[in-house]
Amino acid sequence: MATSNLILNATDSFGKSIAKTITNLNPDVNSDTAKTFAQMLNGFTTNTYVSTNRVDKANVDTEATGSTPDNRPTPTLTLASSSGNKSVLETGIRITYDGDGDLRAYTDGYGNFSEYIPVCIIGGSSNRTLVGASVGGTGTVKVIATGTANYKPVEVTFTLTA
Amino acid sequence: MSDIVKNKDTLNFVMDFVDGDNRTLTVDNPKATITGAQVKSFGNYIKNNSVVLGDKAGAAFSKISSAKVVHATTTYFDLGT
Repeated sequence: MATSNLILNATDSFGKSIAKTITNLNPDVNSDTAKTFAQMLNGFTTNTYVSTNRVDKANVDTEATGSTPDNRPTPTLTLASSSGNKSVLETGIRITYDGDGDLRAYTDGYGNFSEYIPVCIIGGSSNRTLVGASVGGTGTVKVIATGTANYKPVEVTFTLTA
Repeated sequence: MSDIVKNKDTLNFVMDFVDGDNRTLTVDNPKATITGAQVKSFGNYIKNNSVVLGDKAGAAFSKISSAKVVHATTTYFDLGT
């Protein structure tokens, strides 16, 4: 949201200069209205009006233009092993994830695997494990954490070797 | 050297916004002749021209809910040498 400040400059009865800042001025207000407002405010005082300055600021969102910046943090998603043979996958690989999204496991399709490899994630939020049953062949398994309001999505891969 | 007494008057406007929040606008050296009608007229000008906004988006100015002059007397005591 853009903001605008007014600075009312005046002189008091002792000749001292005063600069009074009024914040949260409506940025759409035209300068004549802003000046009139400042003069009305000064009219409540014994100060002598000098001038009105205006400071307009656009915040980061409007200066960046385009889409709203994504300030969500990227969560940590790691596998205890990033590659291994079928017995490693069949035994299970511990997953570490500190976000609040859902975890899903995918193979890269039938093409690179000699047979369909069902992979899944088991366990609660603190001890999730990637497990593949009846694995065969070689290929890539992806573990994907979905994005949420609090965290960005993230993914890691496990490479199944011969 | 004797005590020094200083007087300061401050005019406080409490501005209400539609989100329930308020903000106090202060000015020094208020006139002794301010009237309630003058304050009301000032509040109407702010509202009719949407001059000031609240802290959150969409928080439009509602009214000046109160205005007061605070008289502060400060005594600086002579502590001797």
